[in-house]
This record gives sequence, C-alpha cells and structure tokens, in this order.
Amino acid sequence: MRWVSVIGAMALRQLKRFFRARARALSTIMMPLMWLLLFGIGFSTAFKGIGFRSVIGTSYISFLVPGIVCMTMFVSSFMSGISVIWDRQFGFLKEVIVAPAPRTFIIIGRVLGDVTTSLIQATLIMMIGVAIAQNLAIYNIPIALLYCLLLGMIGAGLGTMLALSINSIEAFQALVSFIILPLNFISNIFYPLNRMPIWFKIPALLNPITYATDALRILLIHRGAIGLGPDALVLIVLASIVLVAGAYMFRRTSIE
Amino acid sequence: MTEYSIIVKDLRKKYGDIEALRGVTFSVRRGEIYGLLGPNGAGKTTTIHILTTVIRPTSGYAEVAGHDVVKEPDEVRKRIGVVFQDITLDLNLTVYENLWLHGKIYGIPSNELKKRIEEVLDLIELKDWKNKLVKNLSGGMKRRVEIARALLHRPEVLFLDEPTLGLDPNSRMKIWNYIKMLKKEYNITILLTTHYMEEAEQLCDRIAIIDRGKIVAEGSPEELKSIIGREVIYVKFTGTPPISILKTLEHVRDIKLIDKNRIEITVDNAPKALPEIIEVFYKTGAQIEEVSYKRPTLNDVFVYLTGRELREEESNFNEHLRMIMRRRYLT
Repeated sequence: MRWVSVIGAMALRQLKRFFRARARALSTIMMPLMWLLLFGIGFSTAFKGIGFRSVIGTSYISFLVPGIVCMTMFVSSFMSGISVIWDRQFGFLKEVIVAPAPRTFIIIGRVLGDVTTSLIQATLIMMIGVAIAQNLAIYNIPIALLYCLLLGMIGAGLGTMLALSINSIEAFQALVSFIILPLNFISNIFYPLNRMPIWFKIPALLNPITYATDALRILLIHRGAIGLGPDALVLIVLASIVLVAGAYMFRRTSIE
Repeated sequence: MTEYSIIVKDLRKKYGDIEALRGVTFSVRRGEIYGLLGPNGAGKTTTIHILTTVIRPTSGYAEVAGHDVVKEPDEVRKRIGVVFQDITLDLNLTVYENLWLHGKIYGIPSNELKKRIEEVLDLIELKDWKNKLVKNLSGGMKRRVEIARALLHRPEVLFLDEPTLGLDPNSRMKIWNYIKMLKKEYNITILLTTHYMEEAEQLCDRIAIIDRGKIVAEGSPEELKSIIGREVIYVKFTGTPPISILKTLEHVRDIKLIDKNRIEITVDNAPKALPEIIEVFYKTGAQIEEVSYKRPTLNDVFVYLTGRELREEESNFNEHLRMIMRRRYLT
C-alpha cells in the first residue's frame, strides 16, 4: 500500500502550498469573479430585453455561471499543473527524481492535489453564481462537480506536460497567456455555440472546456447543445489520454 | 557485502562535443569519507549526478551500494541520500513538512517517521525551527535541513555536492562538525565534492583531485601532499650559516640563501629535520633569530599537477551570481 502514501503525501503537499499562497489563490479566483460580476452583470443589464432570453432561454447571468465555473476549474488546474516548472527551477524536482518511489504515483498525487484545490475554487465561484443567478438547479451541483473534476484532470495534465516540455521561464510566461485566453474565448463559455459560424465551431468543439460547460448548462439551467452522455465520454477519453501522456513525460524527465 | 560502497570505472559523459568526464575511475571504501576536489567545471557535479541516477553516463561503469546505477537505478535510489549543490527543499513548506514528505515518498511508516524526524532534527539542532517555513531559514540552516532529510531513510551512502558552497565560516564549521559526527556515529559512507581545499583536508580520508573531467591524483591528504613532498624551513640568523654541514643532513634536499641573514632549506620531513638543523646552527655558533616552516597545501599539489590554481576568485563570482539569480526568483 506504499503507493497510497506517496500519492496522498504529494496531494497534501499541493494542498498545503495552495492554502499557504493566499495571494495567488485569491488572484486566481479574482479573475473569474470579475468576469462573473463585472462582465456578467454589466453585459446582461446593458442588453436587457433585446432578446437574450429568446436565444438562450434564460437570463445571461444564469447562462454565464456554468461557463465561468468551468473557466475557473480549467485555468486554476492548468496553472497548478504548470507549477512543475517552479519545482524544476527551485530544485524540488531533483528531490523527487532521486527518490525510489515510482514517478507515476508522484505525478498522480500531484494532479490529484491540484484538482482538489481547483475544485475548491470552482465550488466557491459556483456558490457566488447561485446567489447571483438565483434560478440554478442546485440539486444537480454534485454531478456538475464531477464534470468539473474531469476538466480539472485535463487542465492539470496539460499544464504539467507544457511545463515539462519547455525549459525557459520567459517562454513559459508568454506561452501561458497565449494559451489560456484563446482557450477561454474559443469555447461556449460566453456565447451559445449554435449561433456561431462553422470556422468558430470547429476549434471550439476541440476545446475540452466546451464539453464541461455544456454539461454544466444542462445540469444547472437545463439548456445545452451536446448532451450529458457525449460530454462525459469526451471528457473521460481526453482526461485518460492527457494523464497517461503526462505521466509518461514525467517518468522520462531528467535535468540535463 | 563488498569492501567498496562505490566503484567507478572509466566513466565518461559527453554533452554534444564537450566531454564533461573523460574516463573517471575510483573506488570508495565502506565507511570512508571520500572527496572529489577540483575547480568548477572539473566534472564533480556530473560525477555525482551519474552516481545518484539523475543522469546516465555516455559510457563506463558505476556501482553504488552494490548496484549498477544504470541497470538498477531504483535499488541505488533506496540506498543513497543526496544533498545537491542547489537547495532542493520545498520552500513553501515547513522544515517538518519537508522531512515528512520525504519520509512518505521513501515509504517510511508513519509512527517510525515521526520518531526519525525528531531524531534528525536533534542531530542538526533545528528542533526549535521545525514549524518554520523553509524560505525563512538562512542558507546554512537550509543546508542542515537538507542533510537531515538525506539521512531520514538511513542511506548506506551519502552524497554531498559542495556542502558548504556560499556559506559563512560559522555555518561551514557547523556542517563540518555534522559530517565528522556522521562518520563517527553512523559509519556511513560519504562522497563529497568541494573546491575548498581546507574542506577536503578537514573531512576526507581520501581525496581525488579532479580536473577537466579526469582524476589527476588520488590519496589521503598526507599522501597527496607528499607528491610535492618537500617542506620548506626558513631560518633567520646572525653570523655565518653552516651551509656545508647542513647539506650533509639526512632530510635536507636543497639550500638557498635568500639574503645575508635568511636561509631557505627544503626538506622532506620537517619534524625530523628541524631539531637537526637547529643543532647544527647551535654547534657552529651561528645565532638563530627566527624559524618558520611551510608545509605544502592541497592547492600547491593542484598547481603542481595541473599548472593552474583552484581558481577561487572565479568560482566566488559564479556563486555570487547564482545567489543573486535565486534571490530574484524567490522574493
């Protein structure tokens, strides 16, 4: 049962680091909160009565909450995954590399910890969303969080892979904003996909955030375009691929 | 159980066109403190990295605690403790949490782990600091925590890569004392690298002098110094020096007059030669005013073997640069 202790210890490390770096935790939650409060409320108030309801069937803010929850989940887990680069920079990765524990367990523990911290943040945003939007199907939140969990695994896995494949801190900072922003916009977070032209739809359908958001919309506001089953399938397949590939990369990593 | 904890045969490592190691061979006996002494870039860290399974050699054979580092890296990893040149602690965890995490990763059962953490904290005298975040510790303290962590799983062989690099003299002395104590009380085998000759001389049973990826000499500090062999005695006197008689003495190798009342006598065994020399002066009636003698240092040995200094200035500059870089990222 040694692997349980390795996975548990690494997950706990990630949690401890998260709760200790309050400023960072606050800043990751501030971004989705601003989208929700400033953009969401501003946008829906400005265009009130112009036909949002006829397009999306509910208020814009209710439409936005599932999207922002997924955004929180993805960005936060992606950023935690990418923090492997700091372990490399500050040497902790070496400590792990000379340890006799299988690296697969190390990385699984790490991802598990990262997903947990992201889930905490997503839940917080969800609660704020519930308070603002008021008409969300609260009883479906536990299932919604399962979809979030899958999205988090994808995010943390992708972040880890990216961190392991680039060596310069400068390149990484540029790359992060270059990846995160488009990923958030080329999705269904802010607008319903069925109104979008085909050149937009295709990349959006390649984006895992789209499937999680769709599932959350079905669960929370009973409106979605793809369906709970296909959403789950895509997310599970993607999460498996990303995790296996991430673990493979982590096993092979060295510090030459 | 073989006599040797580390066996290295013709180890080579190439980085592109650059040969970092050009055929390194040495063996470390069980319970011995063995030092790799050499300037920066000599290949010390590369050797440590290969022996600790961090990187693979281009060719050659290396065995640690009875296991091949290339074929059985996990067996080696279980049996070694490593303190790398750069800090590898998690700065955002406390001292205790760092040790705990290490213990968990190395599979030490929880109740045993608690006991061992207290034990190693006692050893490095950091009990009062155990709940402090590592980032708030001084450089010397961090190094001590790393040594404690490396001992937690009771390794057979301990690797210390420049254990006192960039530390103040006080912290350096402390670390030296711990290392000496480890040898005395745990009989652990230690391989350390350093470019400080006092460190090598103070701690090591045997030293390999390494330069440009090759070992140029090996032996105990005394043996190495005897490569140069000669010690120099300076005598300041009044009167006529008994040069012709001095030349006949058994241990005297060479005599040079520095000026009209100072003489430089090269000998190969100063403790034996000194009384004889003094006696000769006394008998011939020349008055001795001062006697001093200089023993060769490991630095002299290095210069003799390679024609270059250990280059302390240059390395200090690099250390300084690295500290600045680290500080910039940490704060």
